[in-house]
Amino acid sequence: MSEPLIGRSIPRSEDRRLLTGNGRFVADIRLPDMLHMAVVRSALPHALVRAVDTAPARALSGVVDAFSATDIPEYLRPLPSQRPIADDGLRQLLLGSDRVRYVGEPLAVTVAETRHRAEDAVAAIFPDLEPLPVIADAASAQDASAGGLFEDQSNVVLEVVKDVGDWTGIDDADVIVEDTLRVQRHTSAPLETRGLVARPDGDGGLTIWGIAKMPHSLRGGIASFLGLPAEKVRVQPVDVGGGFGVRGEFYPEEILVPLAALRTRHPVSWIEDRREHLLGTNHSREITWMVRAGAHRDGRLSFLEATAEIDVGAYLRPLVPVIAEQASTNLMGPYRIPRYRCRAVCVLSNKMGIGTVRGPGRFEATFARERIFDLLADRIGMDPAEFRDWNLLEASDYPYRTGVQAFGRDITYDSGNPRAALRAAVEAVDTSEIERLDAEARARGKRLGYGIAPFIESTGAGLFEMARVAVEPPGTVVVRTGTTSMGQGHETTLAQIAADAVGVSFDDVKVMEGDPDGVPTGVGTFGSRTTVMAGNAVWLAGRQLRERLYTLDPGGQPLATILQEARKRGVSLDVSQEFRSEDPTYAYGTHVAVVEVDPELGTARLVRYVVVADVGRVVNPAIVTGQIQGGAAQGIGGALLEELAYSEDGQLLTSSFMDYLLPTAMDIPDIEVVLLNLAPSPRNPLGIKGAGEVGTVAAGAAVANAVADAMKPNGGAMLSLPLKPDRVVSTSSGGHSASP
Amino acid sequence: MTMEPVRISLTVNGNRAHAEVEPRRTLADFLREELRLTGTHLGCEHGVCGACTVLVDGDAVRSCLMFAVQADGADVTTVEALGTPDRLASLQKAFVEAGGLQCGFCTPGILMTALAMGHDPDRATDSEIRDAIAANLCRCTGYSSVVRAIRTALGQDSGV
Repeated sequence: MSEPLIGRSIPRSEDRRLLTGNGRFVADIRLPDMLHMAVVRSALPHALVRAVDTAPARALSGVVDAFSATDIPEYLRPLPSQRPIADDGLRQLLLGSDRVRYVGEPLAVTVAETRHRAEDAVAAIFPDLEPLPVIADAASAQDASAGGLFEDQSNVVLEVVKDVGDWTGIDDADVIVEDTLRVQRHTSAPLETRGLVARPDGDGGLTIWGIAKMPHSLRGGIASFLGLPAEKVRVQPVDVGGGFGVRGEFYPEEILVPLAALRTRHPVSWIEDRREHLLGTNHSREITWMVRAGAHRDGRLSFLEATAEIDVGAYLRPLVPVIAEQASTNLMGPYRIPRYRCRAVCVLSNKMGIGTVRGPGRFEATFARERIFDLLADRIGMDPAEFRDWNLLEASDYPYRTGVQAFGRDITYDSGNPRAALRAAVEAVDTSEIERLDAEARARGKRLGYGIAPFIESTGAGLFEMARVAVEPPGTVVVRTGTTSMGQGHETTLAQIAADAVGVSFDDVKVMEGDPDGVPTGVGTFGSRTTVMAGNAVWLAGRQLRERLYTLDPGGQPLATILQEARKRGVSLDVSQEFRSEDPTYAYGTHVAVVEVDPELGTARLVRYVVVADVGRVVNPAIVTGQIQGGAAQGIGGALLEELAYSEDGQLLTSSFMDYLLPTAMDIPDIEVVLLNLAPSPRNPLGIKGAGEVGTVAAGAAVANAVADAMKPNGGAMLSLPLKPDRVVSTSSGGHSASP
Repeated sequence: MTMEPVRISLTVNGNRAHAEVEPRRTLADFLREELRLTGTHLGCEHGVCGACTVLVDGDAVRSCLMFAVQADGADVTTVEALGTPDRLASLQKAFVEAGGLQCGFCTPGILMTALAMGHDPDRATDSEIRDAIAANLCRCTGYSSVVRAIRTALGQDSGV
């Protein structure tokens, strides 16, 4: 048989249609008699809802329907959730009913013949809102005088504590550093905004386009909420323009669009505009850390403790516990730390709610830890890389039991050598190179800074994924999973695995994701899990299919012929197989950032950026490299540019790309990716670890460490992101007193 | 302002198009809705992201910021003119080889910007290319592979 495809940079099958304008994104869907939906959103961050009169909208010509909470009492329930939420009372209802709690919260829906008309209808509706005092941030939410966002309920809605080690004897630490660090509210902002098209079908059911991330559970949740059997809600896969975590949660529109279709008995399309996206698609990352760390004079760590205050916005959205667990466990990093404790506190505020965004809780935790470790190394008088080298785990430490749990399961790192990754990173940008770049910078009146940030992260979250691999006419191997691609190249990666497993060529395979009726069960795409979970399921299913093909025909006949033979003999060539894994895998590595800073203007430019990463076995190196480069660009954006800023009175100030700054081609250098492949994961047959978030997780830390290095000795401590120019030149010693 | 439809005639991808459009109809919406050329995408509708970039009389233009009536008499090129899935243009092949796209949403806009650069090898340095695509946002690739693709297409493959 030919050379294996796993491990090769096969060009992507997705590319041809995407390059020629033949992608099928949800906004491209055109159906006969399709209507357009628009959403009336609260202009106030906190208010009692007196009335939302939709009659003026319905009076406009071309407007087919308009409804608010009072029109749909039977649907006025909390939005569905993929995870059990302890307190129903803290969840968002389908439409704002008694109270609205963030600017942008949906109050009503209009449906019209054109999008223009639907928006005219929105403008005709004037919600009668009675303002309530605004709770602008997590700090004021915890003031004794602050009201509650929910009656008789504290604004502190969740607390998670991790604690390991013997805390007696921490006085033997020679050096202790204590500081407050802040990561700003930001989000993933994919280029394509959210959208849905729903079409009522003759049988009382619906077909929906625009579902992403978790097709089975979204379909199930929508069906259940609307009182339909699951099989009557069909999902048509679409191309998706990026996700990075924010899609596929139960937003109000996931229910409102199908509901509008059922009410009007027409197909209905809703496409979010960019302002709505920044207002009302999951925010994330806003964590204030109070960190304390101690070490011995020889560089050995003594303890690390922190409180993480997470501003979760106005409702307890389903993925908040994930962020709290990730933040409070990932702070530990790939290190040997004798004593560790972290308390994560989730606090409400009158802002949009949060969800998981690439490297959730981990971008924030890695920033806090690595910045503090640089400060600690500096206080000891030790080189930052040497300090890490002393304390990083190495191969002999594995499997490494951290002693903490996440969601009730022990966190044990499966395989790896973080110390080797650090050394590879240090070699990638060596001393002579730094000296050369430093001289060049000085000649331009700039200062050079060098920063490193080791990281580790859980990837390949369980619990299972199912793959269905079948030979179908005219002789194609069709692979079906409940995952969805949002740019990661699953069609190609999963085809490589299937082709090797079954023993056919790449062109014989077709991958179809995202249809919950195509495969009996599934979980979805998040947490860098698709290649790990679906990939291994495809491998297992494919191997079984290979055996069946072999028993029918050991001689290597074309698939079309074997298919006929199978039919004659009543042998099924349709295999569904689940892969189960209780524990995630652990990718790890080190980022290196080299920056040139203008000491007067405070502007920072990346001169070199290196990601050294071990993601286990790599199926398609080009795809993995691309994912890491893109991830690093997002992380750099978070370090330097991006912020979702709210005013004191709860208005979002950054509601367009003029204010929410995404990095451009001028802001991102060539991201150099070094894939180590030292430690395949023992937790799955193919040895794969996830790679999708590895580029992002340590970027805030590496860039901040580099900028701080550049601005020594008299610059700011770079304890608050983003590193806007005024913060960079600020001479205050603490991040919390830098300008807002 | 009147909403009375206005007659326009223009050339799109070499074909004559005649239509009646409201003055407020953007060129982007006209291309996507009336002409069903959905390869041009809308990422922000306020002229920042560049996903909607098309060529109007050879210049790269944000079609979300232009009205269809302003394109009356013009020669418009969209991504659909470049190639088909079975016959990719060399620019598109360069993107496949370099891995210059992931989700593909920004890609048509970037291709149009690259097309507007012409075939001038002098412009094929990394810094020239980065400057040219500085107004096309991409959230997936981190830009390196995009630059490599355009550099190859412009005829200079230094491999640096």
